[in-house]
Amino acid sequence: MSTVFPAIILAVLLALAGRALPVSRWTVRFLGGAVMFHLLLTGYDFLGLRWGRVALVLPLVVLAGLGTRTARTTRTARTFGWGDGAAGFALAAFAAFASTLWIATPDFIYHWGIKGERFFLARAVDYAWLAKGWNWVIHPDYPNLLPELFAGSALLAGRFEASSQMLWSVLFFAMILASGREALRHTPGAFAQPGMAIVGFALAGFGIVHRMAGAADWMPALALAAALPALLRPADREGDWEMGLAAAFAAASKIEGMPLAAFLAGAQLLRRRELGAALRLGLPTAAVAGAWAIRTFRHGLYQEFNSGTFDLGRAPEVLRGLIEVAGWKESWHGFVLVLLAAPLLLLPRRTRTAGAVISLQLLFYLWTYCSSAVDAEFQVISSFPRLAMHLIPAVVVAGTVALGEKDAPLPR
Amino acid sequence: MPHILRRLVLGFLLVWSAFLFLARLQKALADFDRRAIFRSDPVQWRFGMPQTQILERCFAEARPLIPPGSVVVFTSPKAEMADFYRWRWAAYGLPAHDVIQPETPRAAETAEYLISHQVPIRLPRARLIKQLTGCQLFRVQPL
Repeated sequence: MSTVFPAIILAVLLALAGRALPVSRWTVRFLGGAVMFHLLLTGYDFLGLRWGRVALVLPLVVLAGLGTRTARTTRTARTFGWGDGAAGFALAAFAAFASTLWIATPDFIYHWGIKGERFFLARAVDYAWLAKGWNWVIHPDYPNLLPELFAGSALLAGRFEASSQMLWSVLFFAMILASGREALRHTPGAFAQPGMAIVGFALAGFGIVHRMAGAADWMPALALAAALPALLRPADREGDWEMGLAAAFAAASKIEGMPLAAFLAGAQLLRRRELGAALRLGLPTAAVAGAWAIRTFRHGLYQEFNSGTFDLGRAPEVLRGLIEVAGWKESWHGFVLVLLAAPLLLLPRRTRTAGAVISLQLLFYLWTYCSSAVDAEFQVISSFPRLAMHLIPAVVVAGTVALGEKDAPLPR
Repeated sequence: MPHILRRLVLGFLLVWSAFLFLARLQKALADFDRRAIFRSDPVQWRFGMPQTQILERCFAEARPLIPPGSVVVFTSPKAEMADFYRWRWAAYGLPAHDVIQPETPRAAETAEYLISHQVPIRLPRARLIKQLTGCQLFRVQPL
């Protein structure tokens, strides 16, 4: 268990490093710190420098020291309620199971975990190894933030231990809940408390049955949840940073995070329409995506099976798969149907931008299924429950805001 | 939408999600209690179940005997993709090595070591190094 503490130390360092950025919310500071950590390690790789404890920790400490106090533009004014307690209980149940590895995702074995340990041993992202022909099975073209977090905490600990790496999923889950609380701060407790409990129960239930400990899917879900407070309030300068960092975090996490990053940044830019906002929104993601593209294409990592030709003729297969997933199956017990409410979020003015981002991401998933190079129905059944997890917390929180707004409307 | 109806929507979702959580928690606890005899499809193998525990022991014993960076062929009985998933567990269990399958192109030329899990090996180039828990480790002579 001792290797848990280095992971906690790294997580705290990332949040503290995020103080160097002009954002006041700790969840967004963590996302900013994680993005800077990713860019730091990528920079070392470009320069051919091996990762080490000092090279890892010192820049984060310097960034934390550079941080100035950013005045809070948002406050979590609500007191702790029964819904927060229920969500906390669900989180604790997930955390207890996660630490046993019993609910570790198969993908931890098949790619995320093995990458993390290999990078830890190589003290670098091992591109030569990723490019080996047989390694197509480990998705060598995926962004590497999660394996880098695994490798970073293993570097601090001196060894790689799977059970302590599960902490990252618990942390991401906790920050999704914290973001939900922040997004619901103006919503009356009669709505906000059930909303929090629903998010906690749904995520923990799915996380346990679908074995999501050690998975990367928490990260796009966190990016979207962390962006919600900015999406739900009138656009402002700090919101640009929040959305820009959430977008970059999503892009560094998974390939599906790249379109999410574009939708988040694009939605905020449409509300702001100024050059400064465009830079705050675009630069973090451009840095992440640019470095990813250079590395992926230089080392020939991109997998052709990731893309196919869009064909609307696949729609019946996709629909059959969606019906299968939406049924009373083990994974969501039909709860995935709440995604049908996503377009309804476009109706209230306050949730319109959030509803647009969520709906666009959902449409992107449907588009990829219609472009699938392999059996579309099988692909929907095997992947949509996980992809739905990216969106469900945001739909529930934004939906709760919409339902409660009539009782506590915000000034426009 | 009237206030009561909006609260009803949330109440319905709350009951639904609480059921989802409690039902899955109960099932997971029951599975966890019988993890020593738990069976599943190879794709869903977990840490702590008998099929993977024996492999983990094999890899833990093999790691100190194989120099890092070596090319290791892993072979196991073929059935319902089980050999594929055992290979992936082998790759995870030997992260410092390049673990390949016998079917990997040029495997015969590049192989330096061979780990066999329940497959008899009759290869003149393979010399048994050690019988490990649940597997055998061979040194493969270059072509």
